[in-house]
Amino acid sequence: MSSQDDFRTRFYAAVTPLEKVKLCIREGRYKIVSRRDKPNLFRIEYLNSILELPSDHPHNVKSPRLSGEAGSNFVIDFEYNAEIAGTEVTIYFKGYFGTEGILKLVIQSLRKKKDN
Amino acid sequence: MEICVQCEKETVVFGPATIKVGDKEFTLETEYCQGCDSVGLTPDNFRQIDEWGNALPTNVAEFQPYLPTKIIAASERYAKQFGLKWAEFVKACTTFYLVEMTKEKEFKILRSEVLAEGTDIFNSAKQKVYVPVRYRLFKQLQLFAEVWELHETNVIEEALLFCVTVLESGMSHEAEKAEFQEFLEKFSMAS
Repeated sequence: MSSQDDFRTRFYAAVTPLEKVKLCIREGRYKIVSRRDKPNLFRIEYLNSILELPSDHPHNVKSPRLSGEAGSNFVIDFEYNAEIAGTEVTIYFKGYFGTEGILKLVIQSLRKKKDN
Repeated sequence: MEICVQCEKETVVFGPATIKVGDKEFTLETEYCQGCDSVGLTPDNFRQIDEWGNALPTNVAEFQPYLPTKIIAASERYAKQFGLKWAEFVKACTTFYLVEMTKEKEFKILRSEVLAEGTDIFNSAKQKVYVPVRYRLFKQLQLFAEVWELHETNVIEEALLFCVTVLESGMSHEAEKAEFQEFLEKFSMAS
């Protein structure tokens, strides 16, 4: 079994979308969509705290998106708190599982929520 | 062609894409959108950018903070005391503040106390200075700036104010002062 097949098996075995997100992050199967003029290279650090989230952490699963494929073409988004740069911040995550070519997590949004 | 997650147009291609890192540009092979300015960065891409940035012999960005003249004078004095050039001293302050002080459990309280104290001590006319930074420090500045909703320039101003205030303080911030002096000794030996 190739590593891609092995990953695919574990991906579909993960019960919740959040578990699938964590698996993709752990295995480095993701891409973060950034602006070319300001790629915010530190945001990879925001991902570490996702791995600590419990399985029942609230997350939303939205309707299929145009750029996905059947079976995993939904958007998942959630907020979580993380201790970063000396303070607790709320981070907003939004992504979906891209199945074109290699199965991977596509992260559309990973940013600190603005303070009110 | 894939559909872009940002603009929803079928304009994503794989090939050389140039991204901006501070004042520099780095070209890497990755997915990018021909329609909008988005680029998809994988963990491998982040590693490539880090390797490139860390190997750069030059600074990646230059910031122009406005500093009170009193703090410039005090920091010049401390730079001399520790055998550092002034710009190196500012970088040492920024590194210490962003890497060491943010680990403090009560950083938020410490930050507001020291900055309030420093603002009173160094209340004077301001002068524009130039602070060039390397890649690693640039990344730390970007992170702190996003989390605290500041501009990178303000982070440098804040770090210098914090560190010089700690050095000038008497008994009030003795632990931080000792820690920073030790850090400066090491920084001075390494530079």
